[in-house]
Amino acid sequence: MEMEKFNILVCDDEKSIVDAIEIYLKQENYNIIKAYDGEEALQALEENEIHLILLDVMMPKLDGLNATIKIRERLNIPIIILSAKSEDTDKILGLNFGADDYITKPFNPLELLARVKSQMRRYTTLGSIAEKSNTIKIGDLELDKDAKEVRVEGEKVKLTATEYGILQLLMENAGKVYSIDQIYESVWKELSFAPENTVSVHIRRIREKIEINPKEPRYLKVVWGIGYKIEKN
Amino acid sequence: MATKSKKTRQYLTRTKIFAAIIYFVGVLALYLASMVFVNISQNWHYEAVGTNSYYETENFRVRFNKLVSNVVYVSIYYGDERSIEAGTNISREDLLTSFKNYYNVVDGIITQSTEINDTYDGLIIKNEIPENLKANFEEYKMLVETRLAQYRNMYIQNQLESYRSMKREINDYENFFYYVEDENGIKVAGNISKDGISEMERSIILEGGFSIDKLGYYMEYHNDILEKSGYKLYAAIREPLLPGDAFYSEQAEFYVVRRSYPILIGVGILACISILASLLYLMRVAGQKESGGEIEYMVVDRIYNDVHIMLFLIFNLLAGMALLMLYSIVLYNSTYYLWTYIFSTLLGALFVLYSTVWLSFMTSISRQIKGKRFFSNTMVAMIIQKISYLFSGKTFRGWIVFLLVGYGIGNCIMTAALLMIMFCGNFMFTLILILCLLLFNGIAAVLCARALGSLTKVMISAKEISKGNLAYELDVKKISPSFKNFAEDVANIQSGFKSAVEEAVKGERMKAELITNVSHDLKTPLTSIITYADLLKKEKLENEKAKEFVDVLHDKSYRLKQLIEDLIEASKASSGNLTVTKEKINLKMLLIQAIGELEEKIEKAGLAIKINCEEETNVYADGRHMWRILENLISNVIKYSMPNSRVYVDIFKMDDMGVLIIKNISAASIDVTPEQLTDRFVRGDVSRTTEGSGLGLSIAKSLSEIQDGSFEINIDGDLFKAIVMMPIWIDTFS
Repeated sequence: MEMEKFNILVCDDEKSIVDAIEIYLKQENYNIIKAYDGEEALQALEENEIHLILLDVMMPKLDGLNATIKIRERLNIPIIILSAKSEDTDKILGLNFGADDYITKPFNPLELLARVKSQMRRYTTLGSIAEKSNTIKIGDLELDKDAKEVRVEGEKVKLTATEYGILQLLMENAGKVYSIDQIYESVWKELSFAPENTVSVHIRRIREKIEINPKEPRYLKVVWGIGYKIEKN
Repeated sequence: MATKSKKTRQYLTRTKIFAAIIYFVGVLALYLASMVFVNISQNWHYEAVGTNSYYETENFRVRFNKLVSNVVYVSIYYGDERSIEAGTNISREDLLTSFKNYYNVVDGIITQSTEINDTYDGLIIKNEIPENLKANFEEYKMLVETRLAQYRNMYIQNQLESYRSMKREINDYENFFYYVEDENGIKVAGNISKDGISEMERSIILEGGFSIDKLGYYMEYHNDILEKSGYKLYAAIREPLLPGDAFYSEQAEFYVVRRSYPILIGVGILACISILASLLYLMRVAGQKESGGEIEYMVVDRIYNDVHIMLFLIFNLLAGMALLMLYSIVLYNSTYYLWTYIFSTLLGALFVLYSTVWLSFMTSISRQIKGKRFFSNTMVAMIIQKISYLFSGKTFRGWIVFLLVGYGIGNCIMTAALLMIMFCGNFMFTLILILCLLLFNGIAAVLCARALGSLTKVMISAKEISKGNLAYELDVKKISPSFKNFAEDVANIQSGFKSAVEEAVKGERMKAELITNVSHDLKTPLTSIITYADLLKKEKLENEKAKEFVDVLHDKSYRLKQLIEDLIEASKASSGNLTVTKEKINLKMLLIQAIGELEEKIEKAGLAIKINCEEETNVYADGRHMWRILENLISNVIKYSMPNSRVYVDIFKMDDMGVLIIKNISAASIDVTPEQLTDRFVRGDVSRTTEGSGLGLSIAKSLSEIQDGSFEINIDGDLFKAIVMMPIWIDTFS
């Protein structure tokens, strides 16, 4: 797809993790530069042209968060934090410090790969796609009303008519929470009469199709006990 | 300090009893000796003690004088029987005096009273008798005329009798000699010659009065008869006395009495010594069984010492008075013998009582001194102690009593002064005092209000603490002195409680932190394991078995990941280290969403979930935590339910709680208690082969509790019930 190979800096004090990530990323035709602490990472940034950084938090000499701050002083490249710290507060902290994504250890290698690709795409092809008027675009999620099709990161996703209906309802009203009854009534066009788990099952299936990690959805979110919504980007 | 003897001396009870007996024997001996002394001495007017000779005693003098007097009457006044019978020596004046006495005639007037006095004699002489007495006077004259001659004969007879008895008495005495001569030296009477008398050792010559002479004493003796007659009387006593008369017997008695004195005195001294010695001994051993031993107090020792001393002194005073009274009664009423015996007995009893009280008092004081509580066991000491305790302010009650009494006294004094001054009518002072009174009461009211305010503050503080608000601050400095101690105590309880709670929270947080840290450290190597297992899986392995092994590795590494995540969550939930964002949650909606999420697994397990929800039930809870609870519960149901069975979920309102109950039939029999199931790491199956960490129910319970709800498990045979209760949503929450 790309003419040149992108350089990805992988920085973790655990060498085996860096090596494993290298194997996965090489398969996807990325060029890997390795570092084992914050300072090495900064030095590697000086010496090479880097397009994306995978950064551990707990490292000797200079930790990931402080390295992020230093990198953000000069560079705008995507930074994905890899950390064993899984608290919400840790994630918020990392993202606020300037990281673009936060992956908790232990991670699923495929998810990692998907996220790397996603960030890379946004960084390299940002704003290059001309928006059609009849298309709703939220993040990497596109809904083409004319073609009645949905694309994630440019790739077409196969959805049933009902799934498409639900997604269109939620995307047209991004940020608004729809209860199960409301979704049922507007999509099925009939009064909600004990739909039980029909809607929620559909929602789950949509999520499995459009999300990298369905358990931690980025677009289609569950508002527990209230309803569902698509996050306004 | 107790004297340190090598051997502690035993104070035997029998020795003590012996000493007490000696004491009382001494008392009785002293009493008897003194009684005997008094009895024998009073006959001699107590002269027997210091007098050497019988002749110097009053008894002798009285007897001798009587005889001399008899001689004067017999020899000089009466002369002989013939002259008495002739009435030659009867003067009309004497006769009349005697007559008047006989007939109770006073001053010529017959009367039963002595109202009429000597002045009437003068009236009679002057013949100026008052009219009202004339009748009496006439009666008297009649009496004299009719009775006087008759009375004269009787008078002569009396004189004869008197003469004879006197003469007989003189003659009865063997050892008495007398000789009477007239102015011319001619013998008138006598039982011895004049020369014989002169040779006598103890003789006197009387010419109107006693001379000092050989009798060894001087006594003025005026005898009108002797003086008028001009006669001379010689009297003497034989020495040594011969037996046969009263002088001799009395002298013998005198010597007996004199000889008994040393014995009595000896007995008295011995008695005193034994009393003193036994008393001292009993005081020494009082209250102890051995020297330096512990002191056993008696009932009498409970009396405050100063009161005891006062009572003792009063008793001594009263008993002394009683003793003197009884003594005097015994001494001077010796005529009635029966009474004398009774009083002597009473006296003895009193004496014994008296000495008993002494013994009791002295031993009690001795015990107190030995026990070093002579001063402490006094009413004065007790009062001082009570007062100082009251004034020390240590007791709340003391303070209040002190202040109230002070307030009352202050008001009393001022009111009394006010009334007095008002009575005097001084307007200025009245005004000033009224102002003072108002000021005093005003200050009292302000202080009282302050104290009550302080009390209220302390009470509020205690209330806050009891509610669990440990941060509530009570400013002890602003509390009035009466409640300062109380306030400090409450503050101490609060701070102690606070530190205990902080300690517990800190411990729990440290535990949670430890678990989190350890988990983080586990996660890093686990990341490598998962990644490489995944890589291996992608390698084209020839060996089928190796492929199988890699699959196991892959699966188990994910399971390990799940376990670690559950562990962290469980520790966070149980330590309350989770943020809770509450909002309105529709339980049914939540349940449907959860079922939707887990639909695949439910279908796979062949379970049918039946929802029973009559009314819309909204609760006030955190959606994400609620999802976690339901996820755990439904996962639990999926894992342990009998395949192809139905699961019932009830949702309803109960009071102010929204209730969700999940019921399912367990595939295997449940042999643990509900309590154990909600404990961490306890599972229904012992083998632990199935998926899951064993933390699911524990997490559900902790999460329910941090949202102010409750979680309960109910097992009835194979029926497994999980009950989640959450506070109901009220519109005012928004």
